[in-house]
Amino acid sequence: MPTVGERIKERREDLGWTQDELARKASISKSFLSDLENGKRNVGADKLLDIARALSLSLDFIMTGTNAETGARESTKAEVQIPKALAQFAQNQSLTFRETLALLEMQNQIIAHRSSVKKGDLEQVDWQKFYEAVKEFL
Amino acid sequence: MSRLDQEPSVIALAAELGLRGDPVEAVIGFCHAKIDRWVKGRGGVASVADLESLVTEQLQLTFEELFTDEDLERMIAKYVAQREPVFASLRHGLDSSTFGTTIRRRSSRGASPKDKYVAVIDCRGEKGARRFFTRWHEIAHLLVLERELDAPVRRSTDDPLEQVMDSIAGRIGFYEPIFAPILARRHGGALLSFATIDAVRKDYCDHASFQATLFACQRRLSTPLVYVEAEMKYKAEEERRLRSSQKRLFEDDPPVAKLRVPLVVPNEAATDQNFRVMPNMRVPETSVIHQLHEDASREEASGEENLRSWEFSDGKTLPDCRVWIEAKRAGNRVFAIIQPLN
Repeated sequence: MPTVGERIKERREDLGWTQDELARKASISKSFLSDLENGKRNVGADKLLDIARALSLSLDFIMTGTNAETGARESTKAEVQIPKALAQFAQNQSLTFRETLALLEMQNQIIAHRSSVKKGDLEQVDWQKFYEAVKEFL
Repeated sequence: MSRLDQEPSVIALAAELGLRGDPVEAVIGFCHAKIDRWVKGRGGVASVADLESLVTEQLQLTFEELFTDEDLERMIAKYVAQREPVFASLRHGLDSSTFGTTIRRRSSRGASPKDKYVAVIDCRGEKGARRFFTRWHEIAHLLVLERELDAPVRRSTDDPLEQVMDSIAGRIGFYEPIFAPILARRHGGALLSFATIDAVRKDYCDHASFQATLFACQRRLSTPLVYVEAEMKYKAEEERRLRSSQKRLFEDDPPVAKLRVPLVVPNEAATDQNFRVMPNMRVPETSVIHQLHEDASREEASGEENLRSWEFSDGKTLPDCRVWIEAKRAGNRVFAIIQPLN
């Protein structure tokens, strides 16, 4: 599992920043940052917060590699927002709640298209066609 | 700052990634830095095939390329058997306008670390020409997914974000450390020619499209080059009126479509030197572009001409400038590169 220093280094490199740049933005010395990234030094909460702010990361993420905020968001998502268009379609087709959720889950697996025409969001999915294609597996 | 930099969805993407500065360049830089780090960790890559293999491994991405309808059915059967019925939706999902799509496998259902994501590239018919670029476009989508990859993610595919993905694909698909030496070896510093572009394409990746390679060369050129696409079009004002309720005003004297250049893409050197052609300008009949458009027996044409012959509707012309033009037919359109002769 990556250390705090490794996570800082990875994010810094993702942003294309040098140690000098991050040190300046976080108001710490370059040698301190270098030691921190290489696991040679511990860091206090105040400095870690400065580094997190400079890197636009949460303190949770820097410390644990997971994001409490995102976790909270995801647990809210567990309440599941069914798009109106899908709800309407499900009602017309008399789909069960489980079948409706399965349709939504599958649609959410499609994360990208490359298309010459604009594709809509979940409200504009052709749920009828999508359902016809996958109904035998529901 | 470009128009794309001001799109809310593009600004939001850059912010989501924690980036500052011009959003498009910042996002491209972010992806480039990520790949540079992977390449460094691997000790370098020798070819674009090596690069793609490294990047897909890091992203846990597998490609499925479809060249026939039978390929599509085989692929659907394969993934449905692995309890991934969403692939069955691709029978209609891969319609005539869709070149590729990326699917996140259900992590709890036995997807291996190698294929957490499956990018399906539709290479059937004419879509095959876009195969290379579509692969890198799908890679671009995954490069900008934030680190919480297990969370459900569904990006809207609105146009500005897709354009950013294309920009990323254009930049990293033609990876500087591999592409630049090939271009330097093939292009001697004189005018860029279609023959050179094709030679570069073959050296770099023979299934990259000519047009994608052209843009990659154009971007890196230190001399001015303007890319144009010509097709039969109305003037912008005529177009607007034809679409509006004022259509009836034209009933006695309908407008006539003329060969125009709706798409004009200058490189940085051309912009710096104010070497330009205006979008939607009429192509003069004397131009090699016009002549090629009219002569269906030819696929390519080239020649010297003077931009002074390119006239605006008010009678003004482009500045006096001798240029070399190379043009190529692509369906009903002609695309061309225009470079000044010193």
